[in-house]
Amino acid sequence: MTLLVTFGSILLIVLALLTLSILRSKKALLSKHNSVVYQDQIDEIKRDVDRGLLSKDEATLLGIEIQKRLEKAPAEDLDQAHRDTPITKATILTCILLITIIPVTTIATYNYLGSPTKPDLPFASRKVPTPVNTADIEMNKLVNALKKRMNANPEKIDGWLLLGRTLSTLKRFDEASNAFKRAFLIDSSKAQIATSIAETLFMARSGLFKDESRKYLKIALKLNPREYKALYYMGLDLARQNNYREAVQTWVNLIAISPKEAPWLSNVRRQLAEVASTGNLTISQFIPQLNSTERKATLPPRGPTQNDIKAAQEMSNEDRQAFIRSMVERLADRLKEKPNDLNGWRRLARAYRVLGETKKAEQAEIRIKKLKN
Amino acid sequence: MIIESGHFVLILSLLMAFLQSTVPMIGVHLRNNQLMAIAAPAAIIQFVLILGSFLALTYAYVVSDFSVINVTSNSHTAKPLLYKVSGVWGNHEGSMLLWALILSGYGAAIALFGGNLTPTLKVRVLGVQAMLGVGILAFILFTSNPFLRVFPAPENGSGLNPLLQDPGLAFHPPLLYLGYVGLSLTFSFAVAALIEGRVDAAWARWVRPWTLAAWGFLTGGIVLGSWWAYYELGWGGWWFWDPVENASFMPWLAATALLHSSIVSEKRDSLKSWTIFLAIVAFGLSLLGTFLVRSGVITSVHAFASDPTRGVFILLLLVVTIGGAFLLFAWRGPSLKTDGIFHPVSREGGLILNNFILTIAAASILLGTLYPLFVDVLELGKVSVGAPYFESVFVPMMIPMIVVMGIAPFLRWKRGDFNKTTNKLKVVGVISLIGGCFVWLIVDRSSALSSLGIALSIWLFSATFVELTSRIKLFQVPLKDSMRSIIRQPRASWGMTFAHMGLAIAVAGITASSTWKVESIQVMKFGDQVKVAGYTYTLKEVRKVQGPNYIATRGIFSVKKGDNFNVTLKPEKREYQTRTMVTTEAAIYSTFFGDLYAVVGDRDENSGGYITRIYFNPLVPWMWAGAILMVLGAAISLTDRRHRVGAPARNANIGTSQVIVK
Repeated sequence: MTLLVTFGSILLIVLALLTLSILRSKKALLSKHNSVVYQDQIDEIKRDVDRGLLSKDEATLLGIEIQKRLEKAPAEDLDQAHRDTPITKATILTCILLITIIPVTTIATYNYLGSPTKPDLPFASRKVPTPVNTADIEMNKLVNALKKRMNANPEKIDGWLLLGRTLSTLKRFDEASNAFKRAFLIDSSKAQIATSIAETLFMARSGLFKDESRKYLKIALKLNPREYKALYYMGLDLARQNNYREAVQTWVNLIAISPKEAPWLSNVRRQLAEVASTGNLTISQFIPQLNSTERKATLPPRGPTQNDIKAAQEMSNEDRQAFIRSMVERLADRLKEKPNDLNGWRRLARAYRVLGETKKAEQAEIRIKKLKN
Repeated sequence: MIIESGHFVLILSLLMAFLQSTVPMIGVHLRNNQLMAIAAPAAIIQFVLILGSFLALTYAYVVSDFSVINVTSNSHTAKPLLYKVSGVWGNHEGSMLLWALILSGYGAAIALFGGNLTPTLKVRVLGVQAMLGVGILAFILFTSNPFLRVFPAPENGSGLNPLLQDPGLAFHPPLLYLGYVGLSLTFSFAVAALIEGRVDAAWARWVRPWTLAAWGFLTGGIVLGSWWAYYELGWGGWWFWDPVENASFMPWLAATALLHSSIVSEKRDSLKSWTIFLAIVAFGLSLLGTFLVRSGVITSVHAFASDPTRGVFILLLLVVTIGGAFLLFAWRGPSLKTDGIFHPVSREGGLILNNFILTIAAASILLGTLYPLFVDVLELGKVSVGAPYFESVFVPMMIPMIVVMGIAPFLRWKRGDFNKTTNKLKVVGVISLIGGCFVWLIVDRSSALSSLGIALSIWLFSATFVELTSRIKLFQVPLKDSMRSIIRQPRASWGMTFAHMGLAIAVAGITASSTWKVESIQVMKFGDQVKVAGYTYTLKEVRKVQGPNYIATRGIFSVKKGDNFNVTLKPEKREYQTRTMVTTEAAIYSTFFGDLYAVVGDRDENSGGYITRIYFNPLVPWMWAGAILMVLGAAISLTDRRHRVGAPARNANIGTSQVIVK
């Protein structure tokens, strides 16, 4: 309602100003502009002579020239001046047209582009707390606790992995890669860890491949040529180096060995198509070099892994709470990006129930209902 | 409600612009006073509406309203208030809104202060200005609308590009736009004159101050951008012949030419069609600059092709505006009558020569900027045109220009005396030659071109100085008279003196800093020393410092030279948390002869030291000082009463919206 009143008054003021200005201007606009300018130029020459900028001879010459123009000026000015124009039917018609067309068009366009039902939403007045920040604070606590523990028992590989994953969630990629490196020192046979190192190094350099991340990608693929993530990044790196043929081959391999329901498939297919078209390659000509028949591949666990839970059991109560919370936040974050993951929402709702966050649990349950329909 | 009202008034302003560009133009044609009378109020209303819209968007940024998509993608609650506000124009949509605001602001200025224009010209100028407004406002509303909403709103924004979180860059776009868009007004004047089929005396009077204002802003904007690049990018350079920089430099060259030809038009009633041509070119180049920067065509032709709506819209706007204006010029231009005959050796002659050089220079930069794009579009491979091309083409052209800049102010209008002038400049010429030879023999024998640069700088500075002394007849009349006449100099000629001297100083800075820059890149451990250009740099320590929304690695250098010189430099490398992005903050200490410039880089894993870059950039402060003098010259010249007189004072019988002219 207030919105309508505001729009109405703005329109009213604007239209009133316009019509008034039309109706008040009957008198002709007199004009002697040119004469005035030339007269001023003559005066200026006199001033310049006084200042010593012009010699007398020069001044006379220039003066004569401008004088000539001045003589012609009244004719030019006359041409500019016009007669009084009384208010005619045409004028009134214009006013009526303005008064109708302007509001109608403005409102119609606004209706098309605007969001009249939506209120302002200043950050300060929003009821929603800032979950991102609180989660960050809790996660930071967790990180500090974990770091302390890891310094005490640096041989626990699961702890390093948990620390690495948590730091990645916090986007502290440099530190995360160091944590993964510690884990890799303990067990250098896990391709997944090498991939995590490569991935965090890649993220830490704002999404660019450097020698170090390339090194770990190669190690990962040597350890396990079927490591999904490593294959993906390898393909991306190859494509960026304009090595389209190998990039396409790598991704074709990746698609061949990926489980059918793998969430990354659509993304990889899209990028594959882009790279193939940039490199003028036909995807169908590429034959997967990795065997796809023995498909025992399973999706990597999403959410807390067995190892994470094991690591959590070794923690103090407080740490465990923070840890679980951080895992839940990660899940919630992922669901924001992929809101159609029904199972994810189920897990989230359950987790919130366990943590006693009824409101959030209810919100998640509403989502589940919506998805089911 | 505030945001939706902002959206609403923006739409209404488009209607106002449309009204202003049609009804009054019909009114002029029919000689109907009432229809003509809409122009001025419509222009003012249009400005007020866009201002309201701009303030509404600013409000959304200040209160962090993340239901506005534009705010979400460009702001963050953790951002300092200053950068929340500058975030309004730190993105595509908002910067276009600023463009429209300034465009309508110039229109409103004409409506308010244009009482000394002939009524038909005023209406036509406003009409053309509003046509540009229609184009830009439609572009904003239908392709780059900053008022689009999203519900449910995201919890926080994704932050402003940290590179843009900098005072230099916060104020660089507004200044640059004031310049770019200021040229729209001279464009409107030119097109209005073509429609009118005549260029009268008042026309030239009006074009000059507006060109001057636009030129001043443009100069300031370019320098601010360059200064930002100098201390933020951390490579010790200040100009990279980057397409975005060229996009602002081309209109500047054209505006400089326009500024000088408008003097001839005003004073001598001649060169009018050339001035009109330049006015169209200058604004055309600033529209082209907007197109290059805003369409994304520079980053990648392919990126542009994938989302071409915006680019195509601006391109269309460019073609219609500039193509239309040139067609009109071809049709009406030849009929413009020209007075004021002059001899080749005269002040007019000098100005034309410089105009010619400036235009060719702008054209060659245009070629170098667009060539890689064309090659890419035609799929002939990738070509990059860089500094070597621009320097080898641009620099030689500036040599005759600066030589003429020294001479032309001595020449009289209409017919100058070449011999008399050269007599006056004999001494100056000799001094410059000696200066050049001194540099060549003593400072650096490897680069003849830079000795020439210094010689030209001396030439221009002293010639300008001699011109000033001969105007006040220093040592020819008693000193008292000279002093009296120095006070009575018109401000416009002070403006010229300042601007030309400023350029002379800047030329010295440009020459020195590009030839004699000393650079040293190394890995330093704590306590290590490096000697650069006679200064000893010791890396004392490197520590982490927490900023408002970043963590910085701060290096601390102690710099010594002799016993008396001891300075601490603290360069930083900042990592922003909202976006994984790193910026460098160079530490600069300016001395009269140059800048000490230090940058701290990544930690070297092997040795445990830090990569540091240390530069000595000679005479860089001269460059900034010269640029400031140039802007100051424009400002002084603008206050000249000559730019305000020549108008009929208010008369009780005369029109509605005229304003008293001082």
